[in-house]
Formats: sequence, structure tokens, C-alpha cells
Amino acid sequence: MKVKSRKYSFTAWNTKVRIEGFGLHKVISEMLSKRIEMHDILYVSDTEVVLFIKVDDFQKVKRICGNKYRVTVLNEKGIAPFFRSLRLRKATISGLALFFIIVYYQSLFLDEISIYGFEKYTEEEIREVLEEVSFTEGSRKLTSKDQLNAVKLHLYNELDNISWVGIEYKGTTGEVTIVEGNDNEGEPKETYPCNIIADKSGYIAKILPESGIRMFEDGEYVNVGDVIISGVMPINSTTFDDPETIPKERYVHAEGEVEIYVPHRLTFTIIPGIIDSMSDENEVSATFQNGENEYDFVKRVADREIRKYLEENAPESAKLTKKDLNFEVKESKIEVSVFLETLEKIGIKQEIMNGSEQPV
Amino acid sequence: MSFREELLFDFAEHIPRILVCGDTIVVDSVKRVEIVTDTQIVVKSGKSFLALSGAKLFIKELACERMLIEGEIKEIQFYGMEYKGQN
Repeated sequence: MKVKSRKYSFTAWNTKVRIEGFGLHKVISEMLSKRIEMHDILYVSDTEVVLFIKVDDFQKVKRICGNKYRVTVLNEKGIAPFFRSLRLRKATISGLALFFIIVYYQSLFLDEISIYGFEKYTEEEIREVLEEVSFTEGSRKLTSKDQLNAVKLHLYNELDNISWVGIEYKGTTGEVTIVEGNDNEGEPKETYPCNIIADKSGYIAKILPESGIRMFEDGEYVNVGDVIISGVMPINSTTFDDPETIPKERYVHAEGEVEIYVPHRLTFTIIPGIIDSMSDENEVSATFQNGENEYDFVKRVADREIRKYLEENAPESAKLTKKDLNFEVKESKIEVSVFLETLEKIGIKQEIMNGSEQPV
Repeated sequence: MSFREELLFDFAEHIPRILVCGDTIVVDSVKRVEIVTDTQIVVKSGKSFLALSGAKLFIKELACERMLIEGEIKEIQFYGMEYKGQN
């Protein structure tokens, strides 16, 4: 049978009693049979025992002991005696209350201000601006939204180029976070109506129009001069006006990113056995290196020629995506044919003209 | 264990039952306390007696026929147990 011990329960109210007399075991047995809970039974001597019992059982214990035993209450333990004893300690309670009031009052003021996110401005400059609206260490915390918005507005007005201001309290620390905006000074943006046309031929790899309409799908072939992103936008009118008077298209400044695969073909002849030097545009001389077979030799020379070709014919930002090498030995010469493919960014702006060659 | 023994084990109220775990001893079915000193505790359970000998024995709790004892236990003795077929 499980017995729930109430000695250590939060609401338990136990009393420590001393029972004096002869034959104490009889008293204990009697209390046991009456289902009185006892804790920490200490036999001080043959005639004295100290134990804890519940306050509710004290009267029962007194009746059991009767006149043959002396019962003395030594102590009371529990939440109720604790609160009862507090009533007698007025100075302690007052002191504690004053302490908590002071701690609470202190928490209404700012201890420290931390500022984050500044790049162009210094922390000193921002603190000076905050001081103007009395937001400093030692000042009262601003609790209402209007007061906080007033501080933020002051920061926006006094500091240029601020995108966002945030004020947060973490305990007694105020955290001010500012986000500075991008510097928009520089060349004004172009706005004239234009198309983006191809300045090289190739297969479309990617078109990302920022404004305008793409005219080709990925994989399609474009020639030099083809319009890739058009600045002519059709208008779908939903009004009831006369259709003849409604304009059918509008013009925008086309912008975007275009990448194409540009195919290249390179042919040359290798004359092996002669020291490495170039005899003419299409003939290259080279010698075998130790342990090199024919294929490795051709590949090495071809790589060198490809690098030279790309330096002359492709922009620096071009990426080589495909390389296909074929060679044939004819009369002690090696004819090499290389197919290359590079990924290049293209596109130049062309102003849109009307029928009489005037800008629209 | 037979079925009868199992029932007796779980439900017997007049048979002393003791559980010893290190320095903690739990005795069930305590009906009466006979002797309590710091070296010896004798209790009665129904018709039999249980005697514990040791050192620094201290009754931590005594309620609802269960006694919780702390201390160094050296000897446990049962007296007056009736066995089947014997008086």
C-alpha cells in the first residue's frame, strides 16, 4: 500500500512534539493504529521521544497520551506558520517592499543605449541626435508608441539616407538599429525608349528582362541586329472609348541581361618536329615532349592555340563551355579542327525610331 | 511462485514485509512498535515479530502500517512465523 508522504508537501503543516513518559512504544503503537502519520521519530532516551506530526492530529495525540505522558510542542513548520511569523516582522516586510519598489522604479529608466547598423555615420553623431529628443542613458523609458515614433521621426529628419529605424528595449537597455540606404548619387538613369539588340550571333542561353518584352526563347538562334528585348509594349485597353483614338502600344526603356552561346571554329596545321614557333597564321610548329603520345601532343598545342584565339576573339568575361577537337595526319603534318562554344553576355541599346527616323 | 504464494505476497496484511535498499529500510504491515533504540528496532506484524539490528537506526516515517527506517542494518530476524504443517 503506497503512502503519500505529506511532510515535504508545500502546504504541509507539521508540528514537532516531545513526548515524555514510560513505555513510549505503547504510545507510538497506539498512534500507529489510529493512523496518525509520524515523521523523524527520534528516541532521545527511554523516556523521551521527539517526532513530527500533522497539526490536525495533535489533538488526537493529546487524547492518546492522556495524563500518563507529557506532550510538549517544540516547533511548527509549514507555509501557514511562516506567514504567521511574518506578521511579527514588520520591519523585514517593509524593508523587502521598499527594496522591490526601488528595483521596479529603477527598471523604468534607461541604463544603456546600444546602437547598431551604422556605417556612414558615427555612433557619436547618432547619440547627439538622440540627445536632442532626450533619449539618453538615465532618461525615462518611452512606453507609448507616439513617443517612440517621435524619436524615430527625428532620426529620419536629422540623418540623411536612413532607410529604417528600430527601437527596442531589452531590460533597461535600449537598442537602436538603423539601416542606411544606398547612395543614389551618380549618373541619372536613362529613360529614353529603346530596344536591346544582339551585337553577336549565337544561341540564347538566358534572357532576364528587367523592363521590356523578350523576343526569343532559350535555345533559339539570334543574328547580329536582332531585337532581343523589345521596348515596344502593347496596350490592352479596357475603356469604351473609340478604338481609333486609343494608342495601341507604348514605349519603355528596355533593360535586362542576355547571355548567348557563341560557336567558334578554329582550324590550323601542326608541323611537328621543328622548334616551337609560328610559321604563318594557320600553321604552327611544335616538338614532342618526352613520353608524349600523338593525342597528348595535339591536345597540348591545340590548348595553346585556343587560348590565343579566345584572347583575340572573345571578351574577358566569356566562359568556355564546350571544346571539341579533331585532327588528321596528312603528309607529316597534322590538320587540326577545333569547335568551341563560349557563353557571353551581349546586348546593346538601340533607340526606337518612328517611321520618319525620329525618336518616339 | 505458485498462485497462492503470489496472492499472499501481494495482499497479506499480517505477514511482515521488508525491503532493504542500502541504508533505507521499508517495513510493511507494522501493527505495533515493541522496542526502538538506535541499535535495535522490534515491531509486531499480526502474530509475528520482526527484529532489526544495526547501528544509527532512525525511524524516518511511520504511517499507515509502513515504517521507513534509515541506518546501517546488520541483522534481520523474524520471530513467531507459522509454517505449513508446524505450530
